[in-house]
Amino acid sequence: MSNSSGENVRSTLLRGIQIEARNAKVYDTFAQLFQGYDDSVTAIFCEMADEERQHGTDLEQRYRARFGPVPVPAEEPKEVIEAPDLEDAEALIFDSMTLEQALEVGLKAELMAREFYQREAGRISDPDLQKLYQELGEFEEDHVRRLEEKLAEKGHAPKSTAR
Amino acid sequence: MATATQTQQGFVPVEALEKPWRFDLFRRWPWLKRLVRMRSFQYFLLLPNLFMFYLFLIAGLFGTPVGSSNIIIMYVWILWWFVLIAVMMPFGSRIWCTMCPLPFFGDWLQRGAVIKVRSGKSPGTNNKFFGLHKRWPKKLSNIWLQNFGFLLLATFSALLVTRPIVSVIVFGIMIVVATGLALIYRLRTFCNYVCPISGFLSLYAMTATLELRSTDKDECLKCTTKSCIRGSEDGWACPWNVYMGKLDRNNYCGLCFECVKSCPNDNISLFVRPFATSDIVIRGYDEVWKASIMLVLAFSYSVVLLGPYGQLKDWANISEVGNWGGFGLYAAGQALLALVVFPGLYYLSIRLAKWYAKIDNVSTKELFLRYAYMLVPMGLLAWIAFSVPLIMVNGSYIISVTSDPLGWGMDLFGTAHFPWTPFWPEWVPFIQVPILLAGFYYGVRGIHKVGRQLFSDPVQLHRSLVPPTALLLGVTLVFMKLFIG
Repeated sequence: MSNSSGENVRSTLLRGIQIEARNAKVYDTFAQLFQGYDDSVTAIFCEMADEERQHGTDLEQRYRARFGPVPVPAEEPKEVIEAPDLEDAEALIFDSMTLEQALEVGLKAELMAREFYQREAGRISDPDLQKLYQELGEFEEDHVRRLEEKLAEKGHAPKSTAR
Repeated sequence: MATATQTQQGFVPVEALEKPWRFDLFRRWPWLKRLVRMRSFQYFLLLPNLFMFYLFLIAGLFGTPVGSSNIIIMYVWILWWFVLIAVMMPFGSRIWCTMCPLPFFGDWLQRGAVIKVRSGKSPGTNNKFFGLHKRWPKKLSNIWLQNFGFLLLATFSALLVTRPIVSVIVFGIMIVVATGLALIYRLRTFCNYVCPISGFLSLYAMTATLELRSTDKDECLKCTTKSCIRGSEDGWACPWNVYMGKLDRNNYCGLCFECVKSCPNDNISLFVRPFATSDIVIRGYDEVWKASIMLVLAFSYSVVLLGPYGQLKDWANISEVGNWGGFGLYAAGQALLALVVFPGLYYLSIRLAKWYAKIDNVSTKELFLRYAYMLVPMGLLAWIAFSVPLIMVNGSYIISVTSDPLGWGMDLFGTAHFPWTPFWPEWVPFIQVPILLAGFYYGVRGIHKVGRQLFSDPVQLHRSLVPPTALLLGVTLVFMKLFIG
């Protein structure tokens, strides 16, 4: 592995760790935001926050195994690779957030990440970095599958903000 | 046939919405942003308004019972109404809500502060609120209460706009209810779900040439605090419970500007935009019925107050004539027209549109909701057209009551004896007709834009527009007949 290739792999892993940490914070924020509304929505956001933290821990282990201690990031990542967000600006006004919509928030973010990593894996020529992107894509694929299973359990209906 | 944006049951992602130009006022005038970011900004507007409102209530309580000589009637129901509907709504969105005195006491008690921000952890927020901070019942989390409230107020409007004491009682009740709800429920529950004025402001704010939005949606995606809705040490949690990261219509943004103060990324700005072109998504039956109620009330007021129908005038004027049987007929007819007949006609036009355009990929519900946007600019402009003669014919009363606000024979500014003078009444129809035609134009233009989001086939699109457009044309012609005879 060349120096530049190693540096690319290191920075990519580090960015992944930062994104997982950021997403955990976002899910925590959503869980707090919906406090006192539908308890199942709050619970699923808490669960997703925990999962993101777990993903971050997994990536940190990989990082440590290859590069040693994980440095404290100097700044937040600028990219929007995997970013959960509410679809509906008026969800709290109309008390319309459902468990299914909360799961869709997570699913949309994971799909966005999977697509990004798969696209990068196809674009990059550096074999080490390509392998990492493939691994990260599979990682996200696993999250997508789990969220889809949860949605299927809930009898997932197409999303709608029409009341 | 595929839909243009693959909508599912009325859902259109913000990203997919076609947006017209907008002009960033905060970028152009940084002093405006500095002004808005001041904690005391809202209160610079609100406190003088509160003081005036207090004087009006005093005038209503202790002044003359003759409506045309009492400042509460002339200033509130003629001047304020005209400025609200013809200036603030189309050009300032919900800027009235920025300075509305009704929720002031509730906000004060709920926040335990007039100006400063209190950090803390009341459920869902990063601020400390006082009171029970309960969740408003889910079944009432819509604007149906506002719909029925406004219809009720409008039905008794003859009392409201002629008897000062009735206005005092109504405003008094609204202040007490707003304050009580603020102590029991979260944030601006009164404004979001109960205030009858807020209901139509929310609908017509869709047309406004002003919007408060995030400047960069990606910044909101990366934001971990969501301080715009949850608050921070710099700003209160959004009193209206709106999330700026995905806000795509004005309806429920009360322009309190707290999000401008609390956003840690300096990512909220005030934009100017074209009239009745940006927010075109009606999301619920409550909003469709609000549009119907408002349009029918504009019609009903025009018939009763401006039309040549003496019998109807007598029936509506319960305070003077006291014919309760006739009033019952008038009230029932008005409610029937607003709640059943007009929505029924509109539904029929949608069924016809589905049949004529052979639409099988968009549900009747979605088309019913989405095409109802045409009633929004039409309704607002019909109200403006109705309000033009109010100010031009009766506006001179404002000049006289300014000098004698209580009708006690004072002459503060030497205008107390200014005679009743209609201002250019012969011009009224020439002003009303273009306003109505503009309502028709913006209504049709709006549903054409909606249709382009729903249908990729131009033939299907244009056929789908024919029946609702015919209905809107009928509405326009009826108003014209009323206004120009």
